[in-house]
Amino acid sequence: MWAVSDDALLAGLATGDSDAAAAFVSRFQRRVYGLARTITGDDRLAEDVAQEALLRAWRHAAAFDPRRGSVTTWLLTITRNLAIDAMRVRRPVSWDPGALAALDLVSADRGPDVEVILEDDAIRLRAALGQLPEEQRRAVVLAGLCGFSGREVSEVERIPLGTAKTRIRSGLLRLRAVLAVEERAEDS
Amino acid sequence: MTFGCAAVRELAPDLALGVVGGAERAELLLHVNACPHCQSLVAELSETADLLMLLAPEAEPSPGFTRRVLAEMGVGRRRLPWRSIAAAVAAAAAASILSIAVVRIVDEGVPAKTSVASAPRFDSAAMVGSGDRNAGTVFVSHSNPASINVSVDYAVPDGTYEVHLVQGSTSRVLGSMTVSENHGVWSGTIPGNRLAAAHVALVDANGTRVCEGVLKS
Repeated sequence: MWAVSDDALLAGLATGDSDAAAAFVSRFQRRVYGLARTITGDDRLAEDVAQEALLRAWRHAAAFDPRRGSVTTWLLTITRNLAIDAMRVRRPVSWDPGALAALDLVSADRGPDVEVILEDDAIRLRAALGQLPEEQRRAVVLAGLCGFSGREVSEVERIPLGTAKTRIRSGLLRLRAVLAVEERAEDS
Repeated sequence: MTFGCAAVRELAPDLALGVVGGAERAELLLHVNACPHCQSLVAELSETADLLMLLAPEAEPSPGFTRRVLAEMGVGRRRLPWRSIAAAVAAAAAASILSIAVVRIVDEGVPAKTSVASAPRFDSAAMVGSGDRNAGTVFVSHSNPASINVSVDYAVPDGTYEVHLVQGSTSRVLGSMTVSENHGVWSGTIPGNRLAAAHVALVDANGTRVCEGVLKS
């Protein structure tokens, strides 16, 4: 890998440097495309979304503010918003209910007596999601990852709108609480 | 409608997840921006919500994707310097393999391949201010002309600063940077390879270096 941080590489992209652009695209394209494909479920559309996301990052690299988060989060947020916009006219009718199962949401689940070092954010997140009731887990992932509104969650899950909203809110609050406990445990 | 803390507490997850929009979102943000407690709650929940994007597995786009993107950026018309990199690798491998960096790039018509460069073509360093506080980053690309990008995000008071390139006892003004809300960016180029053992510094109106980054190569 290039011995350059994500922040520095983005700064290089802002200068218009062609080598920085090539390195930036190489570093992030798999993650960006993977997120777009997860949300859209369509390889071709996902490539269009991924391309536009990388181009937007290139155009707006100088405006990136590291105080608001990491380069990865910034880039994935751009990708997610573009993918959601692209899917706005299709969902929820075309949503594949099996798509959530394919994400393997709780693969890092662990029992209370099993000590596991959770270094990676994604592993930590999966472990935390494993501690949520399934209906909350599904609701919060549909909203947070796939950009479903409360109404769309209610349609996909075939539950009243109020119930969908409650599951989304409770799910995120609980997820935050579980992650906070994990962090405190790791710190001590 | 004007929202208070109780309403924001209830709707904070919706805000963090982006499932509330339009006028309601605007009204909520009006309160959040003025209330440190609610701001902190929404920020914490947003951080958690952002993590959800990491659930998506990485995937390889089709061959040609990289080239299409780079072409849109205006990079595709220039051949990526595989041959020169490979030549540098051969020379470097004979001398030392300690500083090898591996770059994997998928190019059109060529399966995923791994190229090896003897040293990074980039250099970056922290911009360090008084008290060894990290103020930002300086990035250079060792091309000709060399590109320089200086960005500061912390610890530099708002104002206008000169960007200096310092080599030995010589200090040269490259341009000026305006810092607003602690955030400022300056980009430019320098003809030729004149960055060896250089410092890049931000200098205020009194001639004081408020922060500087040391370029190693």
